[in-house]
Amino acid sequence: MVNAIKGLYITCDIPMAQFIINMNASLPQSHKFIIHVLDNAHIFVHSDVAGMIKSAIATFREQNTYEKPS
Amino acid sequence: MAIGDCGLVDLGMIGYQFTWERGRDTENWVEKRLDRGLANHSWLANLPNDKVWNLESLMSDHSPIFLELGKQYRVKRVRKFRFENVWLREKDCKEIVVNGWNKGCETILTGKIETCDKGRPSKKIKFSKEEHNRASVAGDDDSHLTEDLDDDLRGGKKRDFSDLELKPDHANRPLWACADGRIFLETLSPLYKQAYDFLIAIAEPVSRPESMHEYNLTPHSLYAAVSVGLETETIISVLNKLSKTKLPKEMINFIHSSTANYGKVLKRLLKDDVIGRARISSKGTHGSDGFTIDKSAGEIEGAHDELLNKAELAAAAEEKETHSFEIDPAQVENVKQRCLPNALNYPMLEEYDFRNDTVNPDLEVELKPHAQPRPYQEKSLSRGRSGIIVLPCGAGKSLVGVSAACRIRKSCLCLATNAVSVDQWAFQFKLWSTIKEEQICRFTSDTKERFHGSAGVVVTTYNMIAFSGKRSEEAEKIFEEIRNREWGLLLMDEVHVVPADMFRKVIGLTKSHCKLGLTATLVREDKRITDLNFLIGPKLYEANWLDLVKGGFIANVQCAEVWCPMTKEFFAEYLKKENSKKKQGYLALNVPSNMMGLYDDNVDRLIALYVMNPNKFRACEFLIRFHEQQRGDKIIVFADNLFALTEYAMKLRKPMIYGATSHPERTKILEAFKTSRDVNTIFLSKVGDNSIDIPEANVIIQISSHAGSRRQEAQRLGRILRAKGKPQDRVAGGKEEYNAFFYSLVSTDTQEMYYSTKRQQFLIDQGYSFKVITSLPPPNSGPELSYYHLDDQIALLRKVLSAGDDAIGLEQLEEDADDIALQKARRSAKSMSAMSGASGMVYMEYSTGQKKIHGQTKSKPKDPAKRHRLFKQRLG
Repeated sequence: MVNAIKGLYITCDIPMAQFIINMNASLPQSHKFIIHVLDNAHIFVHSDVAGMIKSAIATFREQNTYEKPS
Repeated sequence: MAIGDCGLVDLGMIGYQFTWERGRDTENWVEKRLDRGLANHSWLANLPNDKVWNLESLMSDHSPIFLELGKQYRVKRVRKFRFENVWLREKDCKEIVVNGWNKGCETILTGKIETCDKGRPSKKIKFSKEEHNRASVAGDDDSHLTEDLDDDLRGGKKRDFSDLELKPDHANRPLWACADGRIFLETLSPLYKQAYDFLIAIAEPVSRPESMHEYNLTPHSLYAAVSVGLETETIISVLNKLSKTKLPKEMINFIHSSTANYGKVLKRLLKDDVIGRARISSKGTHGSDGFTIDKSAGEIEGAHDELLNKAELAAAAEEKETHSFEIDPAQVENVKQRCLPNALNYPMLEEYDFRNDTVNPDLEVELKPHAQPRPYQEKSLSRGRSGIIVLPCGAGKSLVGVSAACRIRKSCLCLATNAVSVDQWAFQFKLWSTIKEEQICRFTSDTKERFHGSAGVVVTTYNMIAFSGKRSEEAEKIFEEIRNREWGLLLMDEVHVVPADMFRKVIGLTKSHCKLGLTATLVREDKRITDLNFLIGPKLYEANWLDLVKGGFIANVQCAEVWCPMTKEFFAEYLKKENSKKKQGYLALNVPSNMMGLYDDNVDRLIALYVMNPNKFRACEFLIRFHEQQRGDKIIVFADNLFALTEYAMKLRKPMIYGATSHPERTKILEAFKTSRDVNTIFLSKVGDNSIDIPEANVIIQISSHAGSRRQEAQRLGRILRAKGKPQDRVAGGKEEYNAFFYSLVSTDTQEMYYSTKRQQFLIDQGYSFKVITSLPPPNSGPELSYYHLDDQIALLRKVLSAGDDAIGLEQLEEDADDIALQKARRSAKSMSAMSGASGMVYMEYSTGQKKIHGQTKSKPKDPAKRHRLFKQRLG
């Protein structure tokens, strides 16, 4: 009988995949969400972490963007 | 005076004028004012209303002096808007909210809340007395609340202008005027040219891109307008004519209050202590107030005929009476400081009446006939005023400087940043003017010349004058001569370096009537640029870069930002380093640029990682190949990071110049670059920003940036701004339309994006737009570019990670014009022995045999037969 896990399939570019993997590595064991890394641009994770990943990426992006103070 | 030399100002005193006495009631009674309050300029700027009182003394021979701070300096608290339930008890509350809500019907939610807030009558009166027992809350921030709402909106300014009335023919008018002094000008309007000339005369440009300009009305700019003859009413009526909306009342009041100061100035100025004491009263004054009165012609710049009717023009041009009084020369800087907007608010314009100056000997020079000043160069010179002229690199600043010297025709002291510039200026003087060899001389550490005759031109560096150590005897003599002479014109090149402490001294050490500062980039990262207003003078002219491009005076540059994605391995390492920085409790990387590097070398490693990105390398290689082979351009590659510079240059086999390159080698490389067909690309480090006479190139590629310095970006761009090609080729569609290229290579998703955007701000304000290129190198380019294979990339990564800390750090050069490097403290983990120079050395102790510990006797056998033959004879 096959073991099936429900999860979220993420497609992204190579740097962001690294970002997600890095984020996963920095969390404690119970919070790790990656189920399997398929290849450089695709990852399979637990279903409920979509929001968290999105907000983490948004924060990261904001840090790297400069807004002119008016 | 000693006090002036220290940069301090006497605060004056109210009360009895002496503070100490000795020998009262005897014939040797002496009274003196010994006790003084002294302050430096920044104190005066921040606390202008302080007073010093002389109080009664009881026991001592000194009387105490008391410093009273006039205005309490309050910090504005920014609080979020909070709706308070107690307001619901007011009967009008609901009505006000409904009105406000409906009025701002197109704006977003926060805008609506703002309009509600505006509709509310003053909170202080209504609520603070009533059921509300938190009276203190309502106290001081009633008018600040509207600004608190903009926590969501960026900046603290009101952006809802829907209550300004549009005039019916607003489509014909070119500008918007806002209540806070900002003016926006549409360049596509038919009235653009006239409106532009007018606005330049009355306001300061903030940003001038292609389609829409932004200007700011400041007291300085209005003052400059009035001083050329524009009257208050004229300014307001013309603005009204050009504006799409009715002029906001605040703006009209602001113009009135700024310009009203002009004219009644003199009496009020004299009442002020500092200035009153600085006045030298002329002997035998008959008049009631002793002012010297003479006539001077009003002056108005540009063709304002369509805007101003005949009457207004005549009023501006008529001869006006001028009143004046003389000031002690040593006090000039104090007087200027007192007049700044934060003190008395009468901004001063320093003007030198060189035609009537009979005290100083004349210098017989003129511009050569072939020196044709371009129209904007003429515009920027007028009447011997002190100030700053901002012209982009390549637009002919040297000619402006030389023209100024020729116009004033007195001795001129020209200051440059380094020895190479000194040579260049001397050359320019000889090129454009009729100055004779013996009238011009250079003063640098290598060349010490003197001019003959009573008047001449001396070209030297800031360092030579401001140097406070010991000089050689010859240098000392020349320096004393420079100090004692009264100079007609002090010409300062790259004047943006002057606010730095060391260079400020120059202004105090030399006496000059007229000071002219030239620069391309009037920005600094440490906000001291406003000091230039009282150090030298206001901005006399700022060129519009785009206009210069259209006129064909500078090259049309295509600016592009090339986005290079990080490779998988490099990005993984980058993230790891960033995480470890955060874990150690450091701030996120968005520290202000003057604090970058305050933490440890992890930052340098991070920078090395995103600079050595293999994709960036491939892009750089592709660009170099493309421009060299297909267009035959000359390319300069700039890199601040020395490690990267070396790696790139070695791999691509191109010559490189950095701080430690010797002078003959530099000359050889630059000569080859200029003339040879084989050397078309050179790599330069930070030395390339100022100190070298860099020949012109067509293409600049930036692979790493220095903590976001805007000045540096603009200076680098200046290297390719000199106009090339025939004018007809340079129009749109011609073959040389874009004949200069400026590439900035950025690694995406890293801090480099942040710093790169920051650096570009200055150029964007001048009107350049950065095109973004994402598909470089083309995806099908494979092994012909380096680092295609994974092993190469991983080898490079290993190299970066294992490089020594010093190797990947910043290059240290002596001059750092922005003072950024000086503010960095470098922290690194080392042992104590490293501090004393003992790192890497190991001490070994061994006994020399002198001290014999008791009980241990080690004596050599004294058998004569076993002695060496050399000693046999000696010791028997």
